[in-house]
Amino acid sequence: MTGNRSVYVLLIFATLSIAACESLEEDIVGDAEKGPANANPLDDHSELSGLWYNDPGATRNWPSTAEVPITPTGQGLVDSWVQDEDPMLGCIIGFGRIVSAPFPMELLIDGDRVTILYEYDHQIRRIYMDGRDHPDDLYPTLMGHSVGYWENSTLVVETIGLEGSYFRPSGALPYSDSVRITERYSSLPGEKQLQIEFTVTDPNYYREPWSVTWTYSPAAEILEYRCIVREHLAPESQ
Amino acid sequence: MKNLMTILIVGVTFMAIVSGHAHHSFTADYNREKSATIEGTVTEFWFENPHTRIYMEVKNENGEMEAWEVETMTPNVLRRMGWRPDTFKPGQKLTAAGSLARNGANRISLSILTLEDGTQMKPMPTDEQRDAFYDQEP
Repeated sequence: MTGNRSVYVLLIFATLSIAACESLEEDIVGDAEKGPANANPLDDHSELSGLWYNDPGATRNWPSTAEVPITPTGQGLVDSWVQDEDPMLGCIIGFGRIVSAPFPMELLIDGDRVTILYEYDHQIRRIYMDGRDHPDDLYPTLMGHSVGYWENSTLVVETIGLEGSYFRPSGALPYSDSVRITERYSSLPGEKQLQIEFTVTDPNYYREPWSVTWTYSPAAEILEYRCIVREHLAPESQ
Repeated sequence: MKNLMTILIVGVTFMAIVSGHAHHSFTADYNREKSATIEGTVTEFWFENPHTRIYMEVKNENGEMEAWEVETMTPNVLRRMGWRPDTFKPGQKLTAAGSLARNGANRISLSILTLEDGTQMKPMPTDEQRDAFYDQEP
């Protein structure tokens, strides 16, 4: 009789454990409250800190337009892109190009502050980790508004409030100002490496979310990127 | 009227197909199928973003001097490969090969530079140069 009861206790315990685990796997979209519950307070996440560089000789691993579920509206934006009107010629460089260009970045992690410093156009992103939500009255900016939380050792970042632009030079892969970007930063086992899984959700231009994953190695240094406007090439300001 | 409509439709369709190819910023500016090699003297070297440029004076087939522009990578990558703002100086002799600008301008997008002593320089890092981009742990 004791043996059966032990089995029942074990079964009940196992069931409760599984139920508890599954209740933590909610849809992560927009919920910054999850972080503290999952975070190990002793983990300083130092393996993600530092200077990181993606191989500048390799083509950044963006899919082609044909490989993403682009809507006709999105395709229309690809087709109508005019290089001479690229704001980048006027040194206005948007989120998509900043995070994916072949220049290094620095991840600063300090308690509930995560700051990313990009060599490209010396841009900065502040990731708010204190459980706050995005403001209701965001107007679109170049780098948007980011909140984040820890899922064990993975940094999850949600960004909205971006000015619509393109992820790639040459007008491929557009995004609208309603885009939601989810990034997952994690450390790869073995040699010190950073992996970023970058997910784009933008029903205006893509029928479904799509993702791309990048691997970074520790960078030697960050240089100044000084963008010079060549007036005769810059698009006329609106 | 019907013939005119046909011509218009065909014409517009043709233009749409042709213009649709100018997607990539490189191919919008440069013709990968048409390359040029120019030999001459440096007049200016602009080591700045977004594209580093070397201006040269080149003698053409008629013996006339022409001004040419050699466009290449961001200095942020070139610097990591050892290029510096004074890597090229006015008066220096160079040979530059690359894709020709589409719009007929005297401009190429650099593939290979050859110095007077025969040394070749490419604007993409060699494996050895690439090592310098990364933190090499002792």
